[in-house]
Amino acid sequence: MTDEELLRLIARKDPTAFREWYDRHSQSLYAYALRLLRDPQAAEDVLSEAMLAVWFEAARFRGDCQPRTWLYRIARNKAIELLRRRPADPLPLTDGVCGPWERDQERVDLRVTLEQALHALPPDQREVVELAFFHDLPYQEIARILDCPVNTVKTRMFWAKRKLRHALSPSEEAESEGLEDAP
Amino acid sequence: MRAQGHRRYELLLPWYAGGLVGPEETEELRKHLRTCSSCACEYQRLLRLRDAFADLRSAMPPPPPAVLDRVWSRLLRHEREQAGRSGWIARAALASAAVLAAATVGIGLHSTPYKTLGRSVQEEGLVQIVFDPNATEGEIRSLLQEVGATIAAGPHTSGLYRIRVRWGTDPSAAVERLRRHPRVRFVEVER
Repeated sequence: MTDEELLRLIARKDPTAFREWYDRHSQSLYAYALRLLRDPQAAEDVLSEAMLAVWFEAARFRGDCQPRTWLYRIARNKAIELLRRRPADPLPLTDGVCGPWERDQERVDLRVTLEQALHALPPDQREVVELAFFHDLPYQEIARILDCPVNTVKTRMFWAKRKLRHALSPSEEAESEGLEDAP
Repeated sequence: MRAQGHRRYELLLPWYAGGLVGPEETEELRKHLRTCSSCACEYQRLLRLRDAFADLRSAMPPPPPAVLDRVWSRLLRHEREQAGRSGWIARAALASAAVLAAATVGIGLHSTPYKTLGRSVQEEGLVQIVFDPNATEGEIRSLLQEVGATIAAGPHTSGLYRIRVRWGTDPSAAVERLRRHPRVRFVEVER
């Protein structure tokens, strides 16, 4: 069943469809909220508020974007509301990322490095990178979620990727320094 | 002109590396990568970056199960209030006897167009439950027998039942057991 079909059923208050929707999207939405807010409790709040909004607002989905894009927009707005009320208190970078079962030190090191590199990005750039690489969203959908032009999304990605490369492979970056111009 | 084309493709590469561009752009980028060594290198770097992100994603914790419980609780509370406003609780209470009779002999469990979300008097040890839509009547019956519960009312049009655990049985313990069952989609003690 497609997301559109599920939403139509949810609009008719079908709890089984809602449960299916929750199972399908809760994990990635929670990850999105957690990475935006860096606070598990706040991420849980955003997840539950966004899911409830889907139950109540499904009938209002107009189909002018992907259902997942619509869901992420809702979650993002909830997260912004929450941040306005209570500024986030960032967790240590590896919290919630590396499980205690993790034994592969090299992989852990890469995760930590990537986390640090992401954290060093300006929030608008980080969000684009995460929506593209973490949530596999096309640039057009990201532009809808962030409510900005498509070219802004691409440009943010351009700069973010350059900084990430510098953080992840400083030597490689030094070699290609100066070869690229701004978009 | 050529540089402009290059820049355009370069900006699309992060999405191309994830298979997130349309068929037309995919074809254009494929051609461009054959002739542009700088973009071909960048593409390889982006694939590695994507791998690193996939690894990071796999390590993200899932949302705690309690979130779903909270969502259901609020949703049911809301539906109950809505239903209360429309005054169907009394109708539901009257209908429950017929439903209970049907459920006891194992017929009509899924066909009764009846709402169970409202709470009537003298009802303790009540639990709200939604079974997997594919659960058979036999599975529901054996599940209820396992925890010593009987159907008090339902199903609601949404698939929700109200069940009553045997007197002296802790409803929370029954809920814990039911929650672990794969045929149970939602369960909570009615408050």
